Amino acid sequence: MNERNPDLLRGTLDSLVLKTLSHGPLHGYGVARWIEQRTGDALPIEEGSLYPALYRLEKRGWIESEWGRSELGRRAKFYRLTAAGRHHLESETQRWLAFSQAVSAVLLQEA
Amino acid sequence: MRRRTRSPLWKVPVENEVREELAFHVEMRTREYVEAGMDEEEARRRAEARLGDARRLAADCRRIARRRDRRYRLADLADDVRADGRFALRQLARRPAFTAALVLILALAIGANVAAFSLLDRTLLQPPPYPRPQGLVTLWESKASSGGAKNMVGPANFVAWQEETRSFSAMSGFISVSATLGGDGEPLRAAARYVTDGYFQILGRPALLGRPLVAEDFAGEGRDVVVLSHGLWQRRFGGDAGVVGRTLPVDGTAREIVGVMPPGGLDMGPAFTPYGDAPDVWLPMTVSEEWRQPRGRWLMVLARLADGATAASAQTEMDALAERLYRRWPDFNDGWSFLAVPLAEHLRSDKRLPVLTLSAAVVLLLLVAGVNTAGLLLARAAGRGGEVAVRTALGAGPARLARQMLTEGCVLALAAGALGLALGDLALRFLYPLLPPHLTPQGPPALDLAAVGVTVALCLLCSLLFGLPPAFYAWRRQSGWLRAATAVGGRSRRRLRAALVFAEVAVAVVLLVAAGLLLRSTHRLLQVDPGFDRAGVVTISSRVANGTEETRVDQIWDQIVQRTAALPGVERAGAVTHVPLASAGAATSYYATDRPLPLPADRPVADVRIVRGDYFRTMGIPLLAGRGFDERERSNDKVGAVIVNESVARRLWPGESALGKRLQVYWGDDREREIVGVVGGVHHASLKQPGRDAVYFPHRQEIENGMTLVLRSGLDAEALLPAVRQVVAEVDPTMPLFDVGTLSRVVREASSEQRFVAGVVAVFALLALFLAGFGIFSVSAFAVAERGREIGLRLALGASRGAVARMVLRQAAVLTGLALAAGLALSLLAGRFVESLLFEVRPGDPLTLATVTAVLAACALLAAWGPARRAAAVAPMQALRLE
Repeated sequence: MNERNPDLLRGTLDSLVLKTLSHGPLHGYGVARWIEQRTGDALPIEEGSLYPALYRLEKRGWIESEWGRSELGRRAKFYRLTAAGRHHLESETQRWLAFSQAVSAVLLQEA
Repeated sequence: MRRRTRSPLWKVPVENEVREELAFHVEMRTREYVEAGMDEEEARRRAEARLGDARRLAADCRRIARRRDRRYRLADLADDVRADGRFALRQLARRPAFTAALVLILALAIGANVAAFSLLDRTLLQPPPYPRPQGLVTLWESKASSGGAKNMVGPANFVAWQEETRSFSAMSGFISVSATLGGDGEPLRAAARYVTDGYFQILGRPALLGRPLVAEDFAGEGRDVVVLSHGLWQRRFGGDAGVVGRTLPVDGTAREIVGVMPPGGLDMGPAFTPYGDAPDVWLPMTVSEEWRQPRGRWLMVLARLADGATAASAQTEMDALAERLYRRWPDFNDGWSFLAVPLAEHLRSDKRLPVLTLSAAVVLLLLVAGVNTAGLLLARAAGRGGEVAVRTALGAGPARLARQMLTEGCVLALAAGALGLALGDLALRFLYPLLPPHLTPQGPPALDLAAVGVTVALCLLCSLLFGLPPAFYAWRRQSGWLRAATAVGGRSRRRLRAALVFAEVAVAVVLLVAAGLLLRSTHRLLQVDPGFDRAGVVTISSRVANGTEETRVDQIWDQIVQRTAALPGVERAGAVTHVPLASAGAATSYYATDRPLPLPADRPVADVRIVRGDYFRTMGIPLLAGRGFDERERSNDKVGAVIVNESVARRLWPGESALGKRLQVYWGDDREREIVGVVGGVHHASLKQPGRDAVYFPHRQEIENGMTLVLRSGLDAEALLPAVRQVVAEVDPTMPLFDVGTLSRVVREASSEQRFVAGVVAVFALLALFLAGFGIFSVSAFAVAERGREIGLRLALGASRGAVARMVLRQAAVLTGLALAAGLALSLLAGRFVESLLFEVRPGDPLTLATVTAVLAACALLAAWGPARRAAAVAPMQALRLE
């Protein structure tokens, strides 16, 4: 975990969670697995910060939750992206693109 | 709606939610590890380790979850309110006439209330516009025999107060006089206030330009400086910022303008400006050695309390000092006490009663309007039984229905509040010119934040008042026992409605009685004979500049009076120091020299007026004995001349002639004065206050610079003014003319406050009467509508149509009669409140009570007439077939 820039990381985690849920409803464990599979070891998800992030996003109204049945028939809490969340994800994606392009432009510039 | 679908979730305790979710995670992770070939126990251990400190994590999640739930609950509530609001709007829009009537009735009441509150706020509630106003006090003397009336202060006592008290950090004496301003343009008469050192420092208001008067201005004889009021600065100098440092001739003395004060505030009510105006200029006045002589009382005193002192502690110290000063100057201070009155209280004292009366009238009107509206809404709620039943069937609980009714009340109240605020603003604009000026010395009252706050509070109160009965009704209808017997429900509903109308009519009666008493008082007041003939007398004031030789002043006024008397169209002319009823004049104590010398405290007090020319005949004041003043009076006579009124003659020499007797009057010099004439009594101070003693001096013997010309003429003031202006300019071009008017206007203005209060209360009473009539009408009409079947049955069983109509009328009569009795009883109780506003009318005035009874009976009959006819017109078979 990048200790020097926790804000960036938290914002990033939020965006990743929203992105994950944009493909359909998932429970917390499903979200964790999805991100792990996509990012491999490059961005190890701290599980201890995933759940607070989910609750926070729900508090802000970007995602909402409902109890349902998991694939194995177990009672589980499913999260779903709301319209506001989708909107937020789009703007975050734009911001991230702009940010990374700017940083890349500087870092990759030939001296 | 979206949130509502998830509402069952947040009813799951947050603890369970978090615990279950985390357990699920661990279980899934364990399963993942087991599938990867790990043994069960190791897998669970690693899954848990990967999640981290489970207790802290759960605590974090619970905290966020609780906040999330709070947010959702609020959002749900907002959704409900929006939905209720939309529904209420639809319901109200379905009956536009009904809604408009309700909103209008309420808006009128709220508007009246807001206007009255703004006035109240401006006149009674807000502290004087100075820094730390609670530390400002006014100091007075008071004569035991006057019943605590405030009197001006003797300079000797003032100096003693300054030197021998500790309750005050500063004390300043001041007087208000007229002065003539010279310089460019026509001479201008100004209200001048001479103040001793400390005046501006006590008030604590900085100057707008330049500086106020400071200690150096009072050195020696005092410097020739002047401070201008904002108003004079605008009028005379057009707001020129370069005015400081220039010279302004005041009564012929060139004075340097050192400062301009900001607008507002420095006019401190009529008691501080006995000549009717706010000060235009402030001038320094030094305390000379003469002040230490116990002679005369003519100072007004303002002080600031020292740290830690209160008005009460200051009063205690003043009481002790009064004792000491009595022993020091027993003759001067016998029967006098000292008063420390907070400035705020002093400013309030003369306007408290009218403003409070208006406010009470307005609150009563709001009450009537509110009760009326509640009755209408209740009637409508009853008519909505079908709707309520359907909504109940669809699952709306009683709380939900009650909330719906309350929301309708809120929507109505909000609409009425908005309209009321606009109406209130309009009323203030319209009323301000009609207000007696002393009620609003600080300029027109305006709607302010406080008024808006009051409106909001009123709206909330109204919505509760309007929403509650229907809500209660909806609730009870739901709760079962009412549903069992609609007949019982109908009767209890009718009773509730009758109770509302009862209350409304009773309150309206109180207002009607108050209005009746006030109108009768006003009528009486207008019929008071002021002791002079007001018709056809023009009054014009002028003054010779201060510092002019007395013999010259005498000549000037002599010429002006003689030459105006000779003007075409003028029958007679005279002059006086203070026109009766126009302004407060001087008064002093006196005694007869041929009677045993009374103690100072027992000496009677008489109004003093100084007159010239044919004053008494011009005014139409009858000469009862002796003669008027004429050329026989010389300025250097050893024994002065005096004319007394009937009341003095009767007090001192009952049954014998007062002519030739002598008086000692405390006035300027000590010379005795011989009575040369006796005249009829005149209302000098107010129409309500009769029979004061009065003495008149000839102007030649008691020179005053400022006089008011009184001219009996067939012409009006405007027509006379140019000729008079010409005469005065020829005699002395530096003399200003001011306060041009007529005696009849003076008399009319003397009753302006009474007429204003009576007029406004009468308008409110009429509104209340109208609303009460509407209430009686609606309760009768609904009764007829609801009991259509019963009436049909009665008719079918042989009751005559007349009997049915009589039944409806009888019910209205019983209700009205009961309410009338209660209202009359209430108004007798409340009578003490208006008593001091009444004139020659008692609170239980039988004529007023009888008139109110008759008016209300007529109104009730009129209101119940339509419903009674409708009842008589019921077709029996049709009524029976209904339902």
